Amino acid sequence: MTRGERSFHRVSARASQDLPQQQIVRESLLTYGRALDAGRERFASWQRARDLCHAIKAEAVADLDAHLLRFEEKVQARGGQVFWAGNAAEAREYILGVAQRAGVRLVIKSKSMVSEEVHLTAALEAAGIETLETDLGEFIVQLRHEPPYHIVTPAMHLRRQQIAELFQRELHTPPGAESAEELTAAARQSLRGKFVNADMGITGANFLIADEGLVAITENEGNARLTSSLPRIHVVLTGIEKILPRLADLALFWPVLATAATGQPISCYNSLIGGPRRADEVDGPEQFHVVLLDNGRTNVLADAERRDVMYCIRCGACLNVCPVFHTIGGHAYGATYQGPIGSVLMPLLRGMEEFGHLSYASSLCGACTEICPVEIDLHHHLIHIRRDVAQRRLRPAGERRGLGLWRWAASDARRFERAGNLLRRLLRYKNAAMPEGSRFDPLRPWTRYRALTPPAAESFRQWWRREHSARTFHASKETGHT
Amino acid sequence: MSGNPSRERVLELIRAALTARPPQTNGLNRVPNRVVGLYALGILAPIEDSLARFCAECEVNRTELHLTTSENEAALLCDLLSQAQLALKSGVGSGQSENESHAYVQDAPELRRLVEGCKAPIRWSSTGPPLESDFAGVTLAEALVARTGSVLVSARTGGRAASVLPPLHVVCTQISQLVSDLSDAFDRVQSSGRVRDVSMLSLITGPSRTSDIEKMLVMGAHGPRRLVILLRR
Repeated sequence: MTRGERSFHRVSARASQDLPQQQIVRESLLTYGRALDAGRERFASWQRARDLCHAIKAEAVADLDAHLLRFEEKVQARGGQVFWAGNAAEAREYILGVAQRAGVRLVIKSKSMVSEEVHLTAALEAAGIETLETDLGEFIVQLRHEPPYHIVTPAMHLRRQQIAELFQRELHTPPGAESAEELTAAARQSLRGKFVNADMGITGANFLIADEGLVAITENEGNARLTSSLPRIHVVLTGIEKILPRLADLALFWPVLATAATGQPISCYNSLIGGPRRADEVDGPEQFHVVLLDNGRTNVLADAERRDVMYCIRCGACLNVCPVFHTIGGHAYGATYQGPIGSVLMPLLRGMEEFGHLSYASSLCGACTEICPVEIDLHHHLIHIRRDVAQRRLRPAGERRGLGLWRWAASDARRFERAGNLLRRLLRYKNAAMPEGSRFDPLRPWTRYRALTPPAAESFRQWWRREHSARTFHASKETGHT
Repeated sequence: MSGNPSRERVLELIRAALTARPPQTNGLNRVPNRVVGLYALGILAPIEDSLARFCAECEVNRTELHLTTSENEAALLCDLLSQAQLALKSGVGSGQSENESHAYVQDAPELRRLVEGCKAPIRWSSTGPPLESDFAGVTLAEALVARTGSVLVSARTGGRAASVLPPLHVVCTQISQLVSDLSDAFDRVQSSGRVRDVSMLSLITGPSRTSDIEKMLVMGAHGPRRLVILLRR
């Protein structure tokens, strides 16, 4: 078992017992659910919107190389620079190089999961460049020195009072300031000066528009707009799969993304950026860089069965509806991307060895697939990753032997019945020798927190034989046959 | 390209990857994603009265919309700016000295005419970018979108920061700029070539907001607390 998997077990065991914590997340997701329902009502047909999104993404990805080259050409024509990064290290080195050549001392960031993926902030900080998150949720988790809890709502797991205490300690806000308004104002106040003084702004991208060479950024707070307007350098760090063929596609994708992510009809700011400030414009950065990151994405692309994973628009809807995410929370995954999409993406991007265990963090209920606005077949992908993990013999030997035994027992009717009888008997006697939930209980991982249903007195087969023969007897008497 | 050896490598990987058999699609053929397409596919319902829809959506997204005439437009704008400046003086604003605080106005003939008689101090976009101390940004717009109650601005309507740095953003527009859908707005900026001669466009829907703390909606996160649209009929 890898360290990642052990940590997954440890954190998820703790989180699934933390009912107050789950309560916070549940309240937040109830609000989301209501907004989502109302948001979907705004479409004449949400289902057809999903169908078209899927079709457009399929079209975009099927010609990915051509679209990316068109995008690159248009951005360069406007005076922007495009850098292709094969992996996380190349992306970090390029951005660090741009920063160091320009003598950058302060970097402001707006929310970007790709920058989490390549651990950009740590790299910049290590080079002595102060790097600040500006999205309110990201700002809060950065102050707490912890990773985002959720790809869209990074501070979903925190109560207002916890944030108030954090701000008192870190930003010296007055003790009474506990309302969401006061806390938001405090963060705004504290970051304003940083926006004005920063030398470099780093954002992600929600979409890359091939036909016009534009980067589309969606947000509500205005921090991405400030990040891309005020500093003298703007760097966009994004995955190669964010491409859309046409500007007109956004007429569908902007409302769909907003609806799936927060239930809003459309997000507050949807910006399109194509290059540095032009000579005839009053403001804007002198340098504009787009870093296109592969980092394992072409492996996913090469796998025809899973190519639709590259259609993901990172709306977070699959996390919000996932019963496993509700229970174990975002930190248990130990991954940049959490929830169902994370459990699919992480093994595919970072390898089955390190992240294959996440594919088991699902009840396979299919709620994720049902909600996904681009119709990614998430729960089937999870099953297929489990298949691959098993085929590569990556599960612990004990588990493999146990399942081998199960297969042997279950592949023959008589064996299955005997094994069942044996198990029921064993369970009945086990509790006498090894008290349920105690240290000596071999079923402790389950019984530590839950009572085990007592085994039935007879097996289903025994019951069926008894019932069925009795019924046949009664039925034959009624009709007069013998 | 020299200095970026990964470029060819990534492109090769993509091309090699795409030779794999593509996944089955959901059977939907590509449809031109024009408004007609979105209507015909039954994705969006057509809008009958664009102005009525625009008003209703502004109400929902908390944009302060004023329907104006060429007679009262200038007076309304001046009142707005004076009030905003007053709010700043009485300490509701950022605490900056009011002497340094200006209304930052896009330098366009139309806006020069509108703010001519205003008492509030004005700084023109032709003199440089907006300052953090400016109490308002006044700009024109590229288009208005009825379906979502949005306004499309660009780097040519007062620059990048004018619509997001000051706590108040006032947009002066006219009814001919109102289109029913986002696709229509894209059509406009593409057919006029505007999209190619600006470095930034932004579709703004209501004032800046966040709900990152316990999902509670708070207006005025990093951008303006107020968005005012003056729409001349």
